[in-house]
Amino acid sequence: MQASLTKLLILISACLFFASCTTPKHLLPLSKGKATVLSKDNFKPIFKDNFKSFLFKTTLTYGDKLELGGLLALKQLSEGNYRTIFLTKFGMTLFDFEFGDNGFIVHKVLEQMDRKIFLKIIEQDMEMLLSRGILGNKATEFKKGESPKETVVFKTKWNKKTHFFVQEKQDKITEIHQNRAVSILFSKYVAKIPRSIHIQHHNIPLSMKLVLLKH
Amino acid sequence: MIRYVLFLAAFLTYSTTFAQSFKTMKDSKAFQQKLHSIAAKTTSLQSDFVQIKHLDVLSEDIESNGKLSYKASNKLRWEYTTPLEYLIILKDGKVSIKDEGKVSSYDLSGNKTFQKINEMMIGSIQGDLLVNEADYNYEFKESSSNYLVIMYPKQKKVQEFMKSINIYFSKKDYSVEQVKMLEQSGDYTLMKFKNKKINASISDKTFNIN
Repeated sequence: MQASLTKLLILISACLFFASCTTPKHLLPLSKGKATVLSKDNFKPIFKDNFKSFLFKTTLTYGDKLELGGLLALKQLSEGNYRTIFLTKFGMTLFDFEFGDNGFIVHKVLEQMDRKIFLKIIEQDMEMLLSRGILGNKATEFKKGESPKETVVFKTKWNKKTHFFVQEKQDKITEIHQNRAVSILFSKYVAKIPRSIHIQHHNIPLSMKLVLLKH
Repeated sequence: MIRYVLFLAAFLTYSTTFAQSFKTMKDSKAFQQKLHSIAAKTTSLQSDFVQIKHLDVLSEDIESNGKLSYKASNKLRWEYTTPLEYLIILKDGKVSIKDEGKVSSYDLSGNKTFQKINEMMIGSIQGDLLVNEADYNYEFKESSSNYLVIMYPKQKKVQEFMKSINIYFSKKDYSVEQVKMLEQSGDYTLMKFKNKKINASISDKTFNIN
């Protein structure tokens, strides 16, 4: 009996350890979570189901090896299909690809950037940013902080990975985390749209800073 | 290194279109001679510019604005003001870039890519760009108000992202009015130059990065 209890405690500890390992450190501790379903009533995705296009001033950085500044356009082609184009300041297209329900289609990529893994990472970042199809997902809801600075953290499995959405008082999302691997921070909200978006990878030195110019 | 390659590639890709009917230039040699003689007398040039990026997939073109200043024989300030702030200065064998408040400087002598950028930018102002027959095939055209030089890249790698560079010159003063870079897909980048001042006095301070 004692042995099985020890095993159970070890198992629970291990589960908690691995669970906490996947949770971004600054969100810990997450306690008293309640089961919920993400809906329009409790969750406000950054991008609506239907939008025309967004144009961002963008800086893409890879460690100290690469820093590229330019413009990034994100356009919804049809329901569930999107296109993203990254241009230099001089107007040259660095990459241009389509993603979504119709699959991943590369329209153009500069030879030096033509690495499938690189474009797939950017695609995954865009998917994380759009969080499309997330409404209706089962989630665990955690309350953090005290009113009026209370925030809600939704933990949910999406695209086969655990994601954490930090939302201010059912109003605006300020952070999205995919485990401890990727974070997206949203700030400078104007008319419910964040003007500043920072995508940061933690396993590779890749980051993208987006400043909204037009939508 | 890649940013320099990209930067160069971006520069190797401009051209123009006006809603005019162009026919083959009657005397392209005379045009080139005149262009060179005017370029030789050009001591300075200032201009505002509008850069329009047209992508078929986007419903609206992406427009950037800026200013350029050139002082003979090798000082150039190229500055984007909206929607991005970005500054490049070519001077005394050096290129300096100011981006997001950060300044970077590079020596042209140790960098072949920047040497080509320098040749391209200064050469386009001085008219030397029109004699690069190793890299381009040329077509010379004219309308009632403009001369048009179409440059077709010879290298296959360049052809992949650029169909042609069309440069439109004013018939009045032989200055460049528009440059349009056409891509194979039909997308293009158009530069329009306006408020041009030729041979006006420009302080050397204009070519300081700060």
